[in-house]
Amino acid sequence: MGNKTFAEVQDFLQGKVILVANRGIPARRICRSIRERFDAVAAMTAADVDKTAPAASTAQELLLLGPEPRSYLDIDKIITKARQRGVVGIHPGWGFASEDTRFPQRCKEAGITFIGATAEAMNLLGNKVQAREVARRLGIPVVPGSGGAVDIAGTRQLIDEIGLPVMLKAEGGGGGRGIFTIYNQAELEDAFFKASTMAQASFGNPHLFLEKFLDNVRHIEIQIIADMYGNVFAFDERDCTVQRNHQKLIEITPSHWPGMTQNLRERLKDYARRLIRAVGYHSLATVEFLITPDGSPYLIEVNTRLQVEHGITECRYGIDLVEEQIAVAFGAELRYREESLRASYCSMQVRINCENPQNNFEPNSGLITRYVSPGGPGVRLDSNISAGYEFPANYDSAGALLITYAHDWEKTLGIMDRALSEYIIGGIKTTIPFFRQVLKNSFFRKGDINTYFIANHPELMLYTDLAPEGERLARLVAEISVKGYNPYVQLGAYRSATTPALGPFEPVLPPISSSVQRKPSPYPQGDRLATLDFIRDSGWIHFSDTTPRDFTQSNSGNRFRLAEDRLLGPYLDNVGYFSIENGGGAHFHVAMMANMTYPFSEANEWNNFAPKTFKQLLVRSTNVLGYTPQPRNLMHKTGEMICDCYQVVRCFDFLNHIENMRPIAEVVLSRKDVIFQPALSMSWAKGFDVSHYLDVIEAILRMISDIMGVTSKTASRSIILGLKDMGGVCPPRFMTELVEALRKRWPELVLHYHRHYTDGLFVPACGAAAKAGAHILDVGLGAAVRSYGQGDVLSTMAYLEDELGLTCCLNKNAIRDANFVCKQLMPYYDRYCSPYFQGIDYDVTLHGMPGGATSSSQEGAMKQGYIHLLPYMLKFLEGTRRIVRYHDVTPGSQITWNTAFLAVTGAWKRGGEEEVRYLLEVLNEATSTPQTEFSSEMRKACLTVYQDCNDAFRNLLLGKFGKLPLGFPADWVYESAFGAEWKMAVAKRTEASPLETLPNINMDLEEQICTDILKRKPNAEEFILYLNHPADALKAIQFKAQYGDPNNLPLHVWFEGLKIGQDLYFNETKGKPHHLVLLSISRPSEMGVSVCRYVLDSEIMSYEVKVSQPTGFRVKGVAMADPANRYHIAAPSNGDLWVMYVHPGDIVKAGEEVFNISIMKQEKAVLASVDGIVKRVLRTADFKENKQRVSVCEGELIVELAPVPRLCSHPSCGQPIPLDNAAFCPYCGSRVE
Amino acid sequence: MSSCQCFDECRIIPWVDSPDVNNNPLPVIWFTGQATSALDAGFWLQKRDRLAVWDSVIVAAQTAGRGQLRRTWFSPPGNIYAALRLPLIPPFDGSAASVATGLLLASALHELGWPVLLKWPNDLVLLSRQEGIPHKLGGILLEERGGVLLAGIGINVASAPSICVLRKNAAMAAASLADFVKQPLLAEKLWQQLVKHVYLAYAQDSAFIRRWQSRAEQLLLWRGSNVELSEDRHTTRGKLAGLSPTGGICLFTDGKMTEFLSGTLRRA
Repeated sequence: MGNKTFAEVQDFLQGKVILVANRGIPARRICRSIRERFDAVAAMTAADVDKTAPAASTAQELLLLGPEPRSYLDIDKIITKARQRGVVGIHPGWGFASEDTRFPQRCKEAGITFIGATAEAMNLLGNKVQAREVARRLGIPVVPGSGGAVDIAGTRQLIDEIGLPVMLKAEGGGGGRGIFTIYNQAELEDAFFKASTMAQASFGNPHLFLEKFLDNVRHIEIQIIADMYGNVFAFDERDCTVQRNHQKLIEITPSHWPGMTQNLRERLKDYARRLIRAVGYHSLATVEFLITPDGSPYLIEVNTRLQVEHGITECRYGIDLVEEQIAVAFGAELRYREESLRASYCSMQVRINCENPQNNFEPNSGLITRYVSPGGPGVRLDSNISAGYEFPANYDSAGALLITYAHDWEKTLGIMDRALSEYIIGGIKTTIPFFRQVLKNSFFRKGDINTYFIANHPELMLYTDLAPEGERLARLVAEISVKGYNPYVQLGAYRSATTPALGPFEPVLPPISSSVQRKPSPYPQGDRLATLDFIRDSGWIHFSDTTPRDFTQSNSGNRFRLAEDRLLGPYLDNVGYFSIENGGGAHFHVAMMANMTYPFSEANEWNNFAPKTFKQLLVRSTNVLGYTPQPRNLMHKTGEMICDCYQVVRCFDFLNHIENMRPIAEVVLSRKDVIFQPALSMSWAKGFDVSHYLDVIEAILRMISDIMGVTSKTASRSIILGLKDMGGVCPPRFMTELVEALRKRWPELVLHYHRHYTDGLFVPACGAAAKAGAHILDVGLGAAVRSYGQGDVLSTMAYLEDELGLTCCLNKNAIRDANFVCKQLMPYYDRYCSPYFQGIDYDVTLHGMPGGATSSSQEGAMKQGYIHLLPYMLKFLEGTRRIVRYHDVTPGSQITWNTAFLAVTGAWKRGGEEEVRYLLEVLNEATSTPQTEFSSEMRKACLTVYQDCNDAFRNLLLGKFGKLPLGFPADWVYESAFGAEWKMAVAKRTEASPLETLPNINMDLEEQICTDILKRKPNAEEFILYLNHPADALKAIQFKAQYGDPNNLPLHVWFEGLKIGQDLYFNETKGKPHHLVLLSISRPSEMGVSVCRYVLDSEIMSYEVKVSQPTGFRVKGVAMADPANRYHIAAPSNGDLWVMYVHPGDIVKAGEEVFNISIMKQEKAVLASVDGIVKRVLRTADFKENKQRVSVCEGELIVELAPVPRLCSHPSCGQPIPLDNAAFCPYCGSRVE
Repeated sequence: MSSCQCFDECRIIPWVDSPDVNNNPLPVIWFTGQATSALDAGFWLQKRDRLAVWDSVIVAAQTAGRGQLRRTWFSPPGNIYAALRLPLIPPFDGSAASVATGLLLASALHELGWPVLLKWPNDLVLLSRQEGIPHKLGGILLEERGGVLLAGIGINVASAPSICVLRKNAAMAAASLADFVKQPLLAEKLWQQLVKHVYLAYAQDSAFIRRWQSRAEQLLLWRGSNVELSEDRHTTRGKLAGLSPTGGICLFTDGKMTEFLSGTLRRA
């Protein structure tokens, strides 16, 4: 009788059950082969956690193993169940019990065919020491080392013979575990102990053997299959050199290493065949070698099972190894012959593991929220995942095996790169983005690597693992829609999902004619002197538009977005403005913090969509773009980036301490294409008169001429002087006086007047300044004029032209178009971002709060419950401005406001309104009387004025912000603010610039810190943002990573989200269009989570949004106690509940033990903290009775009490009455009153 | 003092040692005859403000001595049955309290010349001098109620329960100190010495909160050996690696370290 054929085995197996004793990828892989040709029933073992796993769907039957996740190792149980089912063959897959020699033995005893090696063969080849012995006998080179298990002494001796470094390996090990490398003798003992411990723990065998550690080697293996008749087939090599900690990550066949010659290949195959034949092996096996750079092979081990990477050999040859393995196991003759089976393809496999490579390949488990598998020519995918699958934590992290194959290596790589880019696994971290990095690596592509490739190339870990932007933005829309408000704009819950919406923002954009578009800006570009000459000589009044910055800073709290700038900017660009103020001040910070937009990127975009007009930015002297003084090197660094993005830089100091501007002036003046505009901070008050301001401007010009090395006259030709009236307080007559004086003194100095609308006198004041010779005025779009920003450009122009006879050269039609666009978008900002208090406030001339602070400060008083004190606070502001003299603009305005707020509320807390009135009387007296003339009562009383001030005010008095413009205030102010230490404070005062004492920051260190936080290097802009506003910069950077660029969403969606069924078409940053429709928003779960389902580009997705606190205080299915509810009795710690003393309906008294928790022989009696009736007992235990404990977690609600309605009034009873309607006390029987 | 059901309060007497070298007073030890349990007596004293932190009470015998989960504690006269009040501050304010208390007592016994190790979490185990076979010498049960933490401490001084009295599946045989010495030992006397050592070891080590873990690991029975940890019907095998900061036991099992907070430990 001849050898059994494949067809005979097919006949035999038809309809019979073959069991795969495994799970996941191997189980699915093998079941496929069982079904394809044998027509057998594919059965798969499954622990409870795997019953409904994606892999299980491939099996026709499941052999259930019960709740224990490790039962795949329980050979006896598996064989017993297999026998009961009539299984004819068991395939062990890989991992689990696949290399347990008892498995084939037990199968044999049970009369079941084990599809794999025999126990004897496993013992001979699977044991590394034995395999080496066989190899040595056959003359196959092995890595020098111990023949068998060694002890420490033996190890020492061997090290003397073969030298260091060496590796200690577990005799029973595999998969790279239990290997320790020893580089010097001192490590030996410790490593030996650790390796032995790990070997025992991992493989149940503490024995170790020793091998010479070979450096710079490749890992090459030969797949073998053999039948029972002595036929052996050796396949071409697999190159598994890309490993991490001896765990293979990428496998390639054939090896693309130039050193892999045909000669070497044949040699390896020959070794492998001889080894297999020598032991009479039949089944699949893999013979593994290390190859040194000179091409010398060393056998390391033989794997007596199917291997994870077998698929690439199948793709190289177009065969099914598992099918052949099954056939061989049932006695078929091997169908492969050297003469007929030829290798045709290159193939590679990457292991898609659910691990985070950037966090040391930490495994992660959890819900797969999105799954899109790759496909197309040359792709094979063996996976165990699908969308909605909760990837379990119990097993290894293998998610899928992705294989590509083609005729050549470059194409194979190309297919792999493409397949990885198609492959989307959402919800958990995978190795996909990491492999994309590896594929880009030139050493990898050339094959110029060794087994330490990954360890030696840490740059492979530097990547950003982001879902496509469309998907991320859709989540943002879902979040805003579910909440009804956008939490990121930081304006609180300004609406809910049920608030009527303004509805879709679908702006009508008037066309801009090409002739208008082509018309260049009248202002010479790129040469500030030419620009200034032009302005000086033009004879017109020039204008700057502040709509995107100061205008909307004051009126919309800076929430004006880049998205709307993109709409408005092109119209503004065609008006013919000198400049558009689009950056700086609070806008810089808020753009990041609330608009989630990088400010310098925003500026760069402006330069693209509005290229003709200069862009202008406001800098707060030493504070630059923040709220506290910055060191000189940071000012320079920030200044340089500013100059790259803006053409006009206005800089002010709230103390007019000119030296504070020097670092910025130095940077800007070094650039010929950027105009420096030092600005005078202006108040209208005694002492701040024309001659005072002339002195300040003189100081400015002195500094400029010093920096430029020119005369004061030349300096006055080289800059623009800003006149900055932040409050809008200087009356027209004062402007006439000041500007005339300035023009007279410095006739060539270009003047740029900036003021606010707050006092209502914007237009006449601008008119007065212009008439007196100011060259440029700050204005804005009428459609956006509200109370606190600048005034309307068209009405100002009308006043100048028609009333004063001045010339203006703006394109009024372009302004009209801009106004039309602006009209359409303002309703959204008005509804969601407009100031709390609105309207003109002429009293600003008294209290001096500038711009938007007029409203926001007062809003603070109201929200803190002090609205009744507001008139007093404003009075205090009026008074204190006359005592401590500086200009009310950031940060001065905040200091003034806080001082007033604290003084008035402090007085009120001390003695009510009477005390407040007294405080104001004292303040009034102090403003009108010199300290030398204070009465004795007043000397005492004045000490209360600043007793409640904060440190910012004290620092101001000490000169820490810079020199006070009219000198230090009277001594009583210090006595009041500093108390007993006032003299020391007076002694410590300084008039020097804070820059002189601020040490430079260590940029390298800061960059390192930022890199550590981001897990990547910040780009230049991100680093500047981080240096200026660390926390908010990080927030913005992280937001961008999480959601993308929100400026891609239209205005209504940004503020209101979408309604169910409403369509949204949006483009992502790279221009790819998307369509989004919300399908449903679920009611919040007990966890307070709503699920939003939506269709994004015809794919249904969902996103969970936390909308409220958990109602039932449930955490992962566990009811949590409300810590604020005294009737909730919680488990005090994690532990075991072992005795419960109460039942529902029982009455407990405060201090009574309710239950007891045991943890590590510590028993915690949990007592009731109030009298109560037991309403619910959520968990119970009685260990004495049934020897069962119930594990509980800290904070878990165990017993819920309810208030006891009444207590028995009988003097000797006093027991609680449990029922509302009881007429008699159930304890003493007396009548209940 | 008002009447008490747990013991005869007329026979309770305080004993105060002379102050230590720094003239700090040492904790008070209360003695009494038979009681339901030392823990009951301890809580009774504490309720009357007579049991400050580190004060203790030792009773001559217990009529209802209790072990973990109200298991019976064999309590004939001659052994130590004491309750020691512990401070509710780290490491005694969390799950580490059991191990930390075990460490203090095992170290105290060590200093008195007894080769005592700690079987996790806090059984006191005496190694027989020749064979090094571990025998259970005593146990500790912590009870916390109403913000008061007491350690109930039982140490076999004169006698130990025979193997047939021990609960089924007990991890090891019991022994008493009397099995190893010719001279009879007095439980009260030994307790005085132990309390002094325990108190001073704690009070004079400002870094106890940081060091307890490594010190307890040095005294840990079966460290580095294969053990099995069973609880209810679950059993885990692994190599005993050490303790966690919460006082849990760390087993090296299946190639990874796992921390356990409960279970009975046996030699595998």
